[in-house]
Parts: sequence; structure tokens; C-alpha cells
Amino acid sequence: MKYKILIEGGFAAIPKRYEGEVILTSQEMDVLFTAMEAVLSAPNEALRDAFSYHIRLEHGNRIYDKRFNEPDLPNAIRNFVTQLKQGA
Amino acid sequence: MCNNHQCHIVPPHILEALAKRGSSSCKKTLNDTYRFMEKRKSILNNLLQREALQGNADRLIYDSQNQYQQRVALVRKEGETETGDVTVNKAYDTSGFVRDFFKDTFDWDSVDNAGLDIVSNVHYGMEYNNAFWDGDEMTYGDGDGVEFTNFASAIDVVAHELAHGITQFLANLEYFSQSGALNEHFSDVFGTVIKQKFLKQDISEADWLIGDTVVTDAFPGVAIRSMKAPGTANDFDQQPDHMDNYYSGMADNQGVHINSGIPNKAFYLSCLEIGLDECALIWFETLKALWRTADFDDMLEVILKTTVQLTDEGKVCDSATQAIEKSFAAVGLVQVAV
Repeated sequence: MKYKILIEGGFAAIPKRYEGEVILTSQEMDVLFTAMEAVLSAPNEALRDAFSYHIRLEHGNRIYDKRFNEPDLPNAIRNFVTQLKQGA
Repeated sequence: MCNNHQCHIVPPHILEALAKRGSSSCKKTLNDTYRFMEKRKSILNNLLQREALQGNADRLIYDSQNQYQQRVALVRKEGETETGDVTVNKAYDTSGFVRDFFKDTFDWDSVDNAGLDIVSNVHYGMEYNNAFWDGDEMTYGDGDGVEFTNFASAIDVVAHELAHGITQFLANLEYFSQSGALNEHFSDVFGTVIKQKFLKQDISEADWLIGDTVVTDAFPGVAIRSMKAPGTANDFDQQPDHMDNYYSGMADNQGVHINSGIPNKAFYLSCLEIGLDECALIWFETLKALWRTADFDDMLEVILKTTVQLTDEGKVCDSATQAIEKSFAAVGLVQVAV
């Protein structure tokens, strides 16, 4: 699965970018794609200094591209990003 | 007139009439107008409900226990003795110092001037490199220990976040473009003012850095931002210190943490001219007079009016207006003659 991740904002406002390809099982991919399909509640417009996450996942003809604010980031996506950070 | 969805100062009944005659652009404008009105009404209702609840500005410290959740475990509340957790105690002390500063200096009671409880969440997430305000409370990560350390222990970070809360109840500056940069600016202003008070420094001793204690030795810089020299705090720092270098890109909500360097520098220069205390008062009164969509030109106009008024009341020195005007001119902001 190909991924492109941009984490913006935050108190320090230093953007972080992660881009590459990982080998995942179809089950692992399904978990991520399901998370990407999550219906988001109305954004909290009072957030200040919070991170925003621009996530793009791609596998074959399945392409997911979505922006999340800190409180809305699904756990599955957060865990995936954490793993990428640790591997970076 | 309506053209490509741009209708200016047209009363709703005229929009309605034009929409009925088939103008799709007027219909869209009308819908947008009502949507905005509804949103504003619900926000106002929330604020009014909050105002009705007079609090005691109590500090409540929650431990997120390294989960990405708020209010996991209440570990210290107002009046309780220290815990064994240094971060909890630091968050308690720093939020108390910020609260007391606003009360003692401006007679402003907590975040909302109605004694709202001050809620801090510490140990948020794993190696989390951030602190944020979410509209109700503050949340702090411990930092990854590689580039960043504990955010809750830094007085300027705590003051910065709490000031976002105060701004929300005053000008409530929209968080993008120039109004967003002003929102960030006011948080940095009170962050640096309170840091100097906390450290008992005068302006000649101050480093004018924001976030210098949350970065490690391995971090490629000395701090997150510099009020004195925007753009020099670290290798990633792209803050301009003059309108000539204004950032007009889309990143960071159209540069809210970037273009704040311009008014930040003006604040620093003003402090050199008339001192920290007078500037703090002028900036606080200006924040009270601004509005959601205010831009840099509005800021200059309002701050000059505010300064004249404070001078007339004998609260700031006679040279204050000239000093502020000069400082803003030095960063490329001058009043437009009408």
C-alpha cells in the first residue's frame, strides 16, 4: 500500500511528511480503509495549535484521501502513523 | 448586485426577491447567509449558557495516562497538595500563575471572565510533541525526548494556550490567514509577557523566545519562535519580521504561525520603547476591541485608537501612540489614509 501523510499545525508548526510504500495483509489494509471511510462529526472550530493530518492511502484502484483534526483521527490511522514515525 | 455568488450589502428580502426571479447566485448567497446566521446563533447560545455558570476558576489537572484521550483520571484539583508527578505539579503551578496574572493585571477572571474552571490534561498520548487548546481545555504531550520535552512545564507554552482560550471569549479571531496570525500573535504576546513575569526578568534580561524550554539539545534551534528576531529560532523557522516577506501560501491555515512574526516583532519593538507593562495593557485592551475577521490593518487602526484612549485616561505614557505607530511602521504596517 502506498501512503502520503502530512502532519501540519501544532504549537511548533513544523510540518512532518511521510511518503512511501508498505507491505500489509489485506486484513490490515481493510482496517485502515474502514477507518478512512469513517464519517466525521462537525469539525471543532475552536481548536488552536492542534495537529491536522492529511492522509492519502492507495492500493490498486482503492484511493483514500482525507484530512483529520486531532480529536477525529481514528485509532487505526494513528497507530499506522506512529509505526511510520518509529520506523522513520 | 449579484454576480458569481458575490452579493454585497444586499438585504435578505432583496436577495429573496431576486432568488424568486431565478437568480441562482442570489439563492446560494441567501443559503450561505442563513447558514452563517444559524451557526452564529448556536455559538452565541453556547457562550450565553456558559456565562450563566459562574465558576471559581479552579484548576483541574487530568492525567491522560499516555492515551489519546482527555479527562482520563483527575489527579489534582484546586487546593490539593502536590502529587508525586512533577508534570502534574508543574501544570498546576503554571496554570495558576497565568490565571493569577490575568486576574491581578487586567481583573480578568479565568478564561471567560466568569471563573471557568481551568482544565489541563497532561501525559497526552505517546511521546506526543504538542500542546493545544480545544475550545474548553488544554492538553499537553510529554514530548518525544529526542527533539521536544514536556510541554506542560513551560510557562510560555501554558500561557500561550490559555491565552487562546481568552481570545476565544474576546475577539474570537478566526483561525486562518491574518486573523489567525493575530490569534497566534496574542498568544505569543501573553506567553512572553507572563514568562518574563514568572522569571522576574526585565525586558533587557529577557530572551524573547517562545518554547525555549520545550526543545532538547538535539533540536536544530534554540526555541520554537523568537519575538525579537522572527525567523531565527530554529532551522524550520520561516516567520517573517516584515510585510515585505509576508507568507501567502496555504500551509498552516494560511500561515497563522508564520505571519504572526510580523506583529510579534512590532510588539517587541514597542516594549523597547515604552516597556512591557504598558504594552501588555495596550495589547489586552486591543484584544477586547477586535473582532473575528480583523486583519493586520484593523489591528493597527484599533491599537492606535486604544492607545490614544489609554493615554487620555493616564494609563500609559504620552509617547505610547507614537511608539506603537513607529514599531508597526518598522515591520511595514502603516495606517492607510482614507
